[in-house]
Amino acid sequence: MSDMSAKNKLKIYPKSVICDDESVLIGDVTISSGCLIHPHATIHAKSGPIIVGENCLIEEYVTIVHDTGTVDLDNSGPTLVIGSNNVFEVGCTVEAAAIGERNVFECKSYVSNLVTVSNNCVIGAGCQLVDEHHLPENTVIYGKRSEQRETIEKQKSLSMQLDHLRKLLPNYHHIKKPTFDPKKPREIA
Amino acid sequence: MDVQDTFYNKDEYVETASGNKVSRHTVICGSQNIVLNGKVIVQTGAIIRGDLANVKTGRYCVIGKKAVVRPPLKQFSSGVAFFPLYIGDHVFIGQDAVVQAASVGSYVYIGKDVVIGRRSVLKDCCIIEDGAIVPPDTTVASFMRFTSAGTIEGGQGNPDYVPPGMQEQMIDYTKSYYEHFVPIV
Amino acid sequence: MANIVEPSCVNYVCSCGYLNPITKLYFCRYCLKLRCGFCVCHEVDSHFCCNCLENIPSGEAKLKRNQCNKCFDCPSCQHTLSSRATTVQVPKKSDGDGSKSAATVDTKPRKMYYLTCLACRWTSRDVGIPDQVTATGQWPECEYSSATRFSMLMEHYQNVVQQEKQEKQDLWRRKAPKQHKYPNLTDRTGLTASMIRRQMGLSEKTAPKVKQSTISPSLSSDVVSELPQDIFSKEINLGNITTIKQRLSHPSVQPSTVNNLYPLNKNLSIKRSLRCRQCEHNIVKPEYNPLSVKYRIQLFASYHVPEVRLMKCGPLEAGVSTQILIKIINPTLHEMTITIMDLPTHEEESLIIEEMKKKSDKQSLGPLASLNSAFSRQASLNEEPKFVDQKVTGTIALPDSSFMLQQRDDSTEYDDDHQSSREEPKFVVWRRSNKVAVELTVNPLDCKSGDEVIVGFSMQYTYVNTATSSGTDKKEPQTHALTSRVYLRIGKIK
Repeated sequence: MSDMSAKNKLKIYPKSVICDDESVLIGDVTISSGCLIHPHATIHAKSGPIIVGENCLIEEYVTIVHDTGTVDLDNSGPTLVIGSNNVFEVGCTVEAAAIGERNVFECKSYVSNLVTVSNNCVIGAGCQLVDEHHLPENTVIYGKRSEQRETIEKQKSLSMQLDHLRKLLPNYHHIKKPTFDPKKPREIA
Repeated sequence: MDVQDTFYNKDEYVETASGNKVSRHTVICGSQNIVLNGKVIVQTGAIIRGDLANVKTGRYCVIGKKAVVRPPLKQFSSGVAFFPLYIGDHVFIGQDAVVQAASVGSYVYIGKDVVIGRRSVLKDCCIIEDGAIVPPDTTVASFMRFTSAGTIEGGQGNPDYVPPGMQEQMIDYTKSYYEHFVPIV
Repeated sequence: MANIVEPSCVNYVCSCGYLNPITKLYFCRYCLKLRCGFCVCHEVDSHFCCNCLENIPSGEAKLKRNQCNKCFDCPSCQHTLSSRATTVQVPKKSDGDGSKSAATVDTKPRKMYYLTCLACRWTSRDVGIPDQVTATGQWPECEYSSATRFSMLMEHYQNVVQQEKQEKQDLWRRKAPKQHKYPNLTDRTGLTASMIRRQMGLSEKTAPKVKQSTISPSLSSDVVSELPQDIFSKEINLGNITTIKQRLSHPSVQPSTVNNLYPLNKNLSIKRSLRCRQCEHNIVKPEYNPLSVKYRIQLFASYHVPEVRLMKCGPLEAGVSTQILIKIINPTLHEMTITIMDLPTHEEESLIIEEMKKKSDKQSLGPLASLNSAFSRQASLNEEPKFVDQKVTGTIALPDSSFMLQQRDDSTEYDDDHQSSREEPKFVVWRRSNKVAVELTVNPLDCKSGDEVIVGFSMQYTYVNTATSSGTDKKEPQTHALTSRVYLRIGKIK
């Protein structure tokens, strides 16, 4: 029964592409329009709802967990809002408490729930951010020892990659249908 | 220790005419764009993204558990393209590795938990240590060892990093791995 | 294979006494001995850039200070930089009447390149290096304040070296007149090359005496400029200060702040050729081409010495004997007879070492080591044989007979199994072409739980040497009986 209610909580806006093979979306998850989710991704709204902003790219074996330490039983948990144009590369695990816009979480990076990420940051491949930390804008975390520096370079625009994948993926995958139409705001449950 | 038997569940694996052993619990997208050239083992949870571009592996390759083999993306000013990914013969890809290389030569050992960045080129007879992160666009030359600390060490004739008989060793290892990959009876 | 990622459990004793897995050992066909990395001379065979994979001749490499002038390392994280193209709008060249175009600024897109690190996102724009027109552009060399001083010192010491060399040569010439096997013309007529040159009116070959350039030595000074007032009070931004690694990767500048980090030319890599220190024969010589993985000479131990592999080991318990299964592989193209024997006792081992020392002494005093060898090449030091630094913690019950091992035959892989009807000794479990599995009984000596059991044996095998030994005119292959000592780490006591 609880599984059913969780499923109903999933809101998928139109124009997003979510590969249906083996991707797991648990809890109150909202996927905004323009998002693209590759197979085998996991988004788990454990302590409260997750809203994934527009045009986010989520690759294989990505795990996004909203976990403040409590389990949201009565739908009163705080909402995790993930900004737009974020990239979650293969195998990253993100539990961050806040995520701004245009960030890149590279392959196999890990961000704990004590970390807040602002905008235009890069968490390098394999980097682990465990302790309480706030990443100011334009931060780059890189290397074995997770060193930190500031970049002047803007992240490349994602739109071309997303456009390409939006055309490509429906040819090969089952795509989850949008469940939410903003034009009809009062949908009958 | 000599290569030990790796057991698999007979119901889980499909064996093709050319001797490929592929787990059913994998995500093989765009299978028409994937060529496994025979006696290739693809283990549980592996992902091969043939939908993005062609993927071709040589003979006697091992793609470990939950490894992701993914053609690399290149962004141009006019658009994006996924490049085909070619993997040579006798290549071992450890579990949980992410391979987004442009090409992987023959007799290459890729350890577990490795990330091979986009469009990297791995030449024949090189070793990527467990847990190493190879940044995008990196070239790892033959007989080089990419260490988990992020340095490239070795060179042909240097006995300390890559064994001088890497070619024979990888042939022997991948062949024995295939021979010792047996169903549970 | 296991030794790519984990230490090997079967180790061979090299002629110097160190233990090594067979994959790290070489076999000198001329000395008929195992050689490890310490027993061979390492020589630079060729230079190449490991990023652009271009072969660079050694002369050029020296000129370029062993650096590639096309590839760069990131000064921030030491990974390779890649060049990136951007299109910028540049004003079109005014054609003739400049007044018109100045009013309506015509621009055309143009590709410009800058360097960027894909690991830490450092770019050449970070430090204000202008973008270049070509991908492998002429990136500005970083200037450093002591450059002139260094070049002066360099020049001076080069002169000193040259002078010393000349003096030494002169001394030798006077002391030891060249003794050729056959007297040549100049010896008979008493003409020397320099006399002829003088008669022909050419300048002396021995170059004009090197000028003794003088350099002013560095002076210590007592005057040290004051520290700035706010040195202890000013808050510093750690993000702007370079790390020790960043400083040391650019030793001539050692920038202290990140805005002085300049791209570093990539250091060249080398291919090595290895030479036996005793007989000076090449043991490994790679191909020149950086892309090639082939060798011109490859005397790896795994091609000549039977390889022992541990296949299975029964449960290990203190004081209880157990069975181990080992596989022995014959890599050669000749049949082998293998005998497994006890390790030499301490006395026997010292005899072996004694004998080896004698042999190497004899060789180094041979005719090759003449007077002028001091000029030609530095005499290579032989690695002194030592006792094996490894205690055994178990005994092996030896098999009661020796056994044959068939030659390697690649075609048998495709054949159906054909069983040889040969009578097998009891300890042979199975046999497949050039491989044999042998069961041995191991008895762990007084071990506690958690102790590692290490056993060892001497393996005598017949080796057919096809190398034509120099000098002798015996062409037919000779058969030798060789011995290798093998140590096995079979596991831990429960």
